[in-house]
Amino acid sequence: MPKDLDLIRGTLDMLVLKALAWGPRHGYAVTAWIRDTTAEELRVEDAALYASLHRLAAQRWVEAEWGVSENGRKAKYYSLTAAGRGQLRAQTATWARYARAVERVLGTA
Amino acid sequence: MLPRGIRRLFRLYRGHGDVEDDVAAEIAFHVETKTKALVAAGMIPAAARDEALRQFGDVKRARRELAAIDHRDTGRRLRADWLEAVWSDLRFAARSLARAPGFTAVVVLTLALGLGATAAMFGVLDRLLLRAPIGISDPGEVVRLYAKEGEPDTRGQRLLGQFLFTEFDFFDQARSAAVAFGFHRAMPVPFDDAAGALDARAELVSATYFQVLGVRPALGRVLLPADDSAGSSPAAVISYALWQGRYGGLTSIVGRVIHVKRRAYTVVGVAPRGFSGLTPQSVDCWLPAGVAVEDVFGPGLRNPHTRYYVFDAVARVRPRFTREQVAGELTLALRRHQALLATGPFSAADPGATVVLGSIVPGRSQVELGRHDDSLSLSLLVAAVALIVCLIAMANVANLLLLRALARRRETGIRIALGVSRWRLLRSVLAESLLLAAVAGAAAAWIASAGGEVLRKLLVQEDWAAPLFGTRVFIFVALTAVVVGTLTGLVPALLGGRPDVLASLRAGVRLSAWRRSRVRGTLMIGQVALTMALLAGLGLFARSLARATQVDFGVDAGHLLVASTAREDPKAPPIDIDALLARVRHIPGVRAATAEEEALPMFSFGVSYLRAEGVASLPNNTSEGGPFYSLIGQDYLDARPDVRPGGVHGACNGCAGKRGDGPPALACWGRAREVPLHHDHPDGQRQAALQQHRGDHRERAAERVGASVDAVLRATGIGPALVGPRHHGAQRKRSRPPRRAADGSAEDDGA
Repeated sequence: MPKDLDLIRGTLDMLVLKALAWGPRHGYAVTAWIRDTTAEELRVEDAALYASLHRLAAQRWVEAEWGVSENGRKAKYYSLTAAGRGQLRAQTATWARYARAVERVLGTA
Repeated sequence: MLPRGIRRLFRLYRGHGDVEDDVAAEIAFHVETKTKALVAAGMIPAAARDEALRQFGDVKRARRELAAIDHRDTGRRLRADWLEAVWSDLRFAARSLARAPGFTAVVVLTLALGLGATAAMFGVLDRLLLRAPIGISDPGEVVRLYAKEGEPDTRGQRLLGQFLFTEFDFFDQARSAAVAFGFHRAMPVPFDDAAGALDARAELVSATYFQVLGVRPALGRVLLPADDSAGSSPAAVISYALWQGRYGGLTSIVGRVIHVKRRAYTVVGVAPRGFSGLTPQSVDCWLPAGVAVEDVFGPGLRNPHTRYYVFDAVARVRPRFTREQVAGELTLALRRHQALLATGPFSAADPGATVVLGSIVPGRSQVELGRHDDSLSLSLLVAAVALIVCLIAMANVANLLLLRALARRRETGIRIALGVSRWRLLRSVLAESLLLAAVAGAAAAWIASAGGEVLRKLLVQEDWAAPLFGTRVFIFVALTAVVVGTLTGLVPALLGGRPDVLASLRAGVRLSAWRRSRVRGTLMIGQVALTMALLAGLGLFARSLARATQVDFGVDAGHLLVASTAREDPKAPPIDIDALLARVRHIPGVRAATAEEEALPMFSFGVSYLRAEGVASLPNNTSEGGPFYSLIGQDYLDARPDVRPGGVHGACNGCAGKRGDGPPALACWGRAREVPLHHDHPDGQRQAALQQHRGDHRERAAERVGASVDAVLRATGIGPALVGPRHHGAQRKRSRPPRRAADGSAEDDGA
């Protein structure tokens, strides 16, 4: 189980980084984007996504700052750092290779 | 500190206090926004909120988790910030000190000398006064034994530090404590092994010695009770230094044979590093007293009536016994011994003698005895001087730092005007002074390790087994450096006061620097006061030194050559001194040659008395100033014309009047030749004394001394006398009760 958790966490981190690739977003926007994009197929609690955001911030891949949301409320905005962008690229490449390899194996069966 | 909102506004670092609020606000924002979105999609508000919460998951747990992540992160950031701030302060301090190399050099040198001297003296006093001798386990259970005289003499009751050899057997039976005896100072002895001869220092110990002190050997075993019986095969323990220095640390040393005073001993073990018995003075080997005592002292010590008080005694209090019980039991043992003495031919016993327990820390036992030797009082004095020098150095450095701070008022003013906090300013000042102190501390450690030993040898004229500079001295230097750095930095920073920003910006450095500097004045006054004290001491010392150099010791060492025969080959026959002297006399340029037990006439050890009939004995007590005398050859006075009559005035107790109540004493042979061999005692008695010879030359030397004495006595008109090594003497009558000599010199009847 812990291994699965690691896998899920790593994948979540990747998704969160991707969600921030187009610019700063607050936490709600990140969760909403991921729900929309995956068409709710990924059943993840919002809390897990927030944990991912905070972990990424602690790793300096993401920077957090308080700003004002579109509806005039105080919200915490996250944006990718240069290191975070590099991390996203690397993780995407790794994921793609991995997915291709798995697909090849399953395709031959 | 700025209000939290402002820090948040400017994205300044945020402390742990913000974390929970931030997490709560973030989650609240999420839930509200989500609810709004769901309502907009057509849900009724209450259901929308429930759905938002459901999708979010466990809010409480999420809060906890997120806060934990953020706390860890905040902690890391704060630590990194702190380290960076310290590092930048230090770099800044280093740069600004490098820009003033003269200032830096002066400060470092001043502090290093002050700290170095203090550290070296700490090393000396640490060994003398602060801690138990090295190598003793659980020193808290070990006590030193003293005897208190039962009958108060004219100077009141005294504590006496040494015991008779025969008293050990009485103490050894104690149930409350394990007792050990050790000869109170290491004896120079001829020492031989397969590699050749050596001047070694041996200590005679009871075989319980190592066990009572709890000494764990570095190699082999320690001495055991079985080694101490006269019939056992002689065993010896050698010191770590001798093992390393002479035997290269080879483990094969155990089982080797060494010769001390012509007797063969098997080395059974090596003492631990730094161990030197009860004093710091180095010892080369330990011999069981039961075996070696005759070799060193002759057969006399086994006789309870022989008053050689030469053994230090220690005891380890056994579990479940109190010190009072130990003292009580040993007192009884001592009195039993005294009762035995009462039945002897001299019937001189001290039925009121009491055993008193004291400290085994070397200097403290001296204090307890009420008699510091010179090295301890000198060390204390020099330590005080070192401390004063260190304080002066600190005041100096504080002053220099203050001056520097004043010179940098403009800079400080600008920094304050820019909003640098007082704490930040203080930190940069402290960084500077601590950096200086750290460099000075390193230099001081070097000074203490290189120069401490030299200083120590000046104060304590003996070799110590363990080096002065160790972990404790190093820790002392480090702590002192931190304290000194903080103080020298804080004093100018705190007492200097906050500079008047506008004035310093306007007027610049010059004028404002010298105003209102009360601290400077205080430091100056303190320094001058301390310096005056030192100068006064120096003046007095110079006077004493001048006086001391003018003392005529009656000995002119020019044209005098001294050779020693202490190194003996154990297999060769004893040296024939007469033949040796005859050969020396034939060497061209030799005017005269003589034999003498000690090279100078003012040193003697282990004495007995020669005295005119009907004259009371002289208490011989080298620590009270004499009399000193030495065994000499027949033609001594011809060979030593430098020993001038009357010259020994200052060095001789009776003559010098060092103690008004002291006994009149015979001086030495130089005095004896031309000046009458006596002093007028207040009650008109005339006395003469002569050292008992000892060692291998006993018999022949006695004849020679006898001859000299006769000549002297004839010259001085004292009349016939008996020469008295005690085992030669016939029936003698004791004329005074026995006295214990606290420093180990002994009294023996001679007439």
